[in-house]
Amino acid sequence: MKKKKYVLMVCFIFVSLFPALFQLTITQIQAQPRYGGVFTLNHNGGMPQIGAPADNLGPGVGNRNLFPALEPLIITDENENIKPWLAESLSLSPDGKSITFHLRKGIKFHDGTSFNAEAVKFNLEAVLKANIPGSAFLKKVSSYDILDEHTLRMNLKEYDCTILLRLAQATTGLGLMASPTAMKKEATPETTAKLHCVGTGPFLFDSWKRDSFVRYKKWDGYWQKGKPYLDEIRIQNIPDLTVSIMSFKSGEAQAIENVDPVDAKQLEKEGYEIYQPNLYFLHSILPDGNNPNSPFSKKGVRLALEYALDKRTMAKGIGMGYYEPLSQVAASKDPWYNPDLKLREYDPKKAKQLLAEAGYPNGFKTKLISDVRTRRDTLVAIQTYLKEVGIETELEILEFGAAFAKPRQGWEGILFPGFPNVSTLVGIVDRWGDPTNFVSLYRPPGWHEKWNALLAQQDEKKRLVLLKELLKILYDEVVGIPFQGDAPLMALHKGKVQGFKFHSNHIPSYFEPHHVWLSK
Amino acid sequence: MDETGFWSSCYKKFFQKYKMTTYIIRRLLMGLLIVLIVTIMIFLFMRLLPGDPLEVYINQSDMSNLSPDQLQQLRQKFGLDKPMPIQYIHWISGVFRGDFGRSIYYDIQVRRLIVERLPVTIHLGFLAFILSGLLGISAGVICALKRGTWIDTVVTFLANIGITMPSFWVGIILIYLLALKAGWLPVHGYTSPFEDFWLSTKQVIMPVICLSLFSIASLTRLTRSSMLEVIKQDYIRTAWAKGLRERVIIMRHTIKNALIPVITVMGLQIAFIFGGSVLIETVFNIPGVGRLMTQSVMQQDFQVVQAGALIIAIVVVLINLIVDISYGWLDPRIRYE
Repeated sequence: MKKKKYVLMVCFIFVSLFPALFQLTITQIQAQPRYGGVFTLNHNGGMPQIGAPADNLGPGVGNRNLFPALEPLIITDENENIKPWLAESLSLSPDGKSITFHLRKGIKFHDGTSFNAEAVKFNLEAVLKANIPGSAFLKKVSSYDILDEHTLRMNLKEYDCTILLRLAQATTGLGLMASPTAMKKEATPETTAKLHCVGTGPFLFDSWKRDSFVRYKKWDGYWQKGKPYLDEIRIQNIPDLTVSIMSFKSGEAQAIENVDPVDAKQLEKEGYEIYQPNLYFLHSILPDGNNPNSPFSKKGVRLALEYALDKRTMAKGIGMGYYEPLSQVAASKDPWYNPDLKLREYDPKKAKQLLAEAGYPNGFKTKLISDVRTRRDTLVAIQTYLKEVGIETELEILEFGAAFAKPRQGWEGILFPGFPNVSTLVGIVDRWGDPTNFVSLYRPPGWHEKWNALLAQQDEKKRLVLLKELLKILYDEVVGIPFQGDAPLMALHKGKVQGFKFHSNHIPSYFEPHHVWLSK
Repeated sequence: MDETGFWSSCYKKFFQKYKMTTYIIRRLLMGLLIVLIVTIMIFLFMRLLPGDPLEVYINQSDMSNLSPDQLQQLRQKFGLDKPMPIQYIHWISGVFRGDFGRSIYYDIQVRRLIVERLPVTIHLGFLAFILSGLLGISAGVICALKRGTWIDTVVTFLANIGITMPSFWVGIILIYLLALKAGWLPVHGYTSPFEDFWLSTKQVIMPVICLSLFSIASLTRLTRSSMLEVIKQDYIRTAWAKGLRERVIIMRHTIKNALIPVITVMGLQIAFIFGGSVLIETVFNIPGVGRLMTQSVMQQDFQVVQAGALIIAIVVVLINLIVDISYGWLDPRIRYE
């Protein structure tokens, strides 16, 4: 009888656990990367040219179209630590005047030539010579020494901690390596892609159409054995987001970037996966505190500006729950985020009181300058909130050229740049620490000296401490008013696309093509 | 006969003899004048827009710290250092040599971009023109012949809808129904028919429908009313009275005469089709001149916008010229004095 009970109990347990065991086995099978398939990614960032970075691939994030074929010398991780890639390791001299790159051996370009120190030197010199966006930092390099075939020393005029970060993260692909043999070939706009897009990456350039698509095919000679998984990667440029979403839903594409929060919510309801990367874009309004005649030269008025904005409602209303209200120039996922800097909650009464204390009991009139890239709903929200506390703003919308020039020329009133501050160390330095940029911002005493100390700091931990100190001063002195952080949303076919992370490694538009595979 | 009278009589004789040729030359000269005025307008509008195009270029490359000398060199590169009239002469003389300047956004010759994009727009425009001509005229004729029947009511109703619906909206609806729900057609893109004819055909169906929708609707209405006008004429009644066959009356006497105003409108429809390509190529993600223009306006890529607008203006002027000239052959009663 006892034996019968025991057998029954075992059977019951087995039957109960069977679905779970079965599910586990299925999950394990699914987790195994599968070979084959075509992965299509839609973006709306333009595709003016394909080639090597030195060919000037156009404004914006030109590198996103190259990652399948060209690989970086070094890369960063999610916390912005420098990691090796084609360089196996690197070392900084104690005086910070030289960086030595030890390159991986045995790596070949797609054309069969060797990846070596000469190739790295050639690529870096070529992007500087071609004035590629973001390449000016390479002027700090005095010379390159080729110590042996796989060792290169970069000699610096002065140390700057952002040099390696700029090399690893440049959105125009400065650190991506192309074959010098290929790049030396004379090319026309029609042949540049075919002749110059020759890297060490997992995929070979196949074909492209300007502003439409680029297609890469699997390369069997890739140095990471067993990869890539996909047969083909196709990147499509579709400027209209509605069409892009329909292309995605119809199955023509497996992933789309820059999905609007409203569309993201709808797609999520329909069963698609919405992916939010770690890399945030920080939106701020910037009063002209540096102008002695401006009301914003007074700290109380700048503070009133911050209390006037209902950051939580804006982030919730515009971002549909995907955006984050900002207390400081950092998103909560950033390594330099300081939890002690609390969000200044919406308080119009306090804002009015601060204005009255500063000598503006009836408020004042000023300009709200923005540009064609700004979301109109955000602009209207800011204008409405400021009006509620008595700050009447006259809108001035700049076109592209003027919007680029304004931060260096200076402004009167409040500037709301249409392009946000990328939450990387380089992005933060360029917006808040560059004395030639955003010149109308209030600069506390010793501000630039502190930024220079940060740039000269070789130790990553000490550098992080310095950055946190600077961001605290920025918060205390209300230099600018960060109000919203958004990580550009991606939509994916749930369960179908694996290993695809966009904006990964804290690099705008970066993804690792060799990790991507399709489960169906 | 004095000298003035002699030349005057020579002119009259010449004009009588070569009426058509003189007319064509006169219209060609007028067309050239219109194109010239258009070039001046395009040039001025682009330059009078706020903002310095060089600022866009500088900020798109790593040149924000350029010295004044280097900036001056860049101004010279794009011809922006000279006074506006000189810049215009420089541009227009380049246009005559086939040189439309250099794109700031793409950093390549505008001619190269136009050569890449124009065949795409012409392909779509040509198909839309043929489709609108065939469907619009056929539907109009049928409506007129079946006046008052249910066919007339339905087709006229559809034509009214076709005129009022914005083409870009129709485009989105078609994508939703035919591509997304039914899965019959691709959502977007363009492939040359010489590369893959079947794929190309599938890709152009929706854009061509959108481009030709307005033309089909307006041609249907115009053909119907023109046919009804002609049907009432005495010579048609005479033809019936003579006992001619219906087919002969309709084909030889009615349609031929009714088509004269239709041909004029068809010429004008080409301007609509080219103009519509600006929207439709954006909706269907087709790399033609229309999408290039939209993007270039956004990027303030003034050389590309100038070239695109000039090409569209030339096409419209040429089509109008052809339409005017074709009157003579279609209706011998028309004289060119």
